Parts: sequence; structure tokens; C-alpha cells
Amino acid sequence: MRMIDRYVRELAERLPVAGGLRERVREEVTGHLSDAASDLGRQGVPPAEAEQRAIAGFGSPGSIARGILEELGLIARTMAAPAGTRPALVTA
Amino acid sequence: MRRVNSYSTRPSRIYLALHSMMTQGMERRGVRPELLKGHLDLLLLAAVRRQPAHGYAIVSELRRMSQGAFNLPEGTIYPALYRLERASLLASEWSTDSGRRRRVYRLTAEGERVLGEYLDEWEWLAGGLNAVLEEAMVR
Repeated sequence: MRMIDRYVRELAERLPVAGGLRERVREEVTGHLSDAASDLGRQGVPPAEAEQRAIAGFGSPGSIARGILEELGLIARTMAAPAGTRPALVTA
Repeated sequence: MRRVNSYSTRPSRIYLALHSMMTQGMERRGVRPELLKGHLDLLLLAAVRRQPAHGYAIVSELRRMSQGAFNLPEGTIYPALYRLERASLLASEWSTDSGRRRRVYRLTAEGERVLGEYLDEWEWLAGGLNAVLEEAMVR
């Protein structure tokens, strides 16, 4: 889990969004990577390599964070989300 | 050479949309990521249409449904999932299974409607492309 935790921390650090959303991403991505690593483990891949491969298959933290920010940025400009649910984008 | 599909039979429209994105040999070669990215919304909406699913299951399901052709960097689905949810085409909630919470996505009524529009567009595009290619490739 150490590698997955480190990956998710790096991803979260690149997300200047409201804490609730950041926590959701953190938990969702941790679950995804853990599931992927578990599946690889069931196929006989050793734990450390399984984590490594799960992370490699996910994409770099920078590119995933950028993707999330781009999509939310677009939505914030063009769509009205219900009050209170829109993540607060903090300028870096 | 890629085989051009012709639809002598009419399987379900979802199957048609997914199947017609593939050509023989794609499974081995993979597919240009930018080509797939343009269709990611369609794929994600279609993947959860029959059964709500969490992100990892969606990736696995797309890989299975596409017979291995669609092997995306898995993380790239999340930005799109968040956007589709903001647009109310998907809805999501936490679900606990064997001690781990997972965010499960389902298609909304609006998502179903938009998916239908995507399919109309896709059939129009695929039909036109196939018609051109079939005539052009006749020996």
C-alpha cells in the first residue's frame, strides 16, 4: 500500500479544490488502485510489483490532476452546479 | 489491412456502436489514445447503462466489451466521469463492499437520452464511412 498511498498523496497535492472533492478523489483512486493491485495479485504478481503496475496503468499524477482540473474548470464556466456543491477552485 | 465491417444483421444499437469502433487487429496494436478520447463520453455512458459500476469496474468492463481493444490509462476516465456527473448524465454514490467504499456510477434519464443522441450520430458517421470505404476498397 505504500506506493499507492504515495501516488494518491501526490495526486491530491496537485488538486487545489475544496477538501470534500479532494477527499473523494483520494478515496476513489485509492480504491481503484487497490482493486487493480489485488487483481494482479490474484494472477500471481508479487505485491510490490502489483502496486507498481496498477499505478503505471493509471497515468501520472500530474496528467490525471490536470485532467480533473480542466474538466471542472470547464464546467464551472459553462454550467450552474447546485449551490454549495461546486468545488472552489483556488488560484495557485 | 483493416476489414471494413458491413452490417448485414442489426445487433443491439449499443453493441453496434462499440463493435463498429473496432477493426480486426486492433487488439494487438492498441489504438491511438486521441482517437479513443473523442469517444470517451459515449463509452462511459454505454458502460454503465445496463449495470451501475465503480471506476475500476468500468475500465474492466470496457476492456472486456471491446475485446481488449480499449486499454486506456485507467485514471483518464475520472476527469470525464466527474464532468458527466456535473452535467447530470451520470449520478454516483458510495457503496460499501467487502469493507472498501467505492463510488458507483449510474446512468440518469438525461444520460440515457444523450446516449441515444450519441448513437444516432455514431450510426450516421459509421454508416457514411463504411459506405465510402466499402466502395473504395472493392478490388
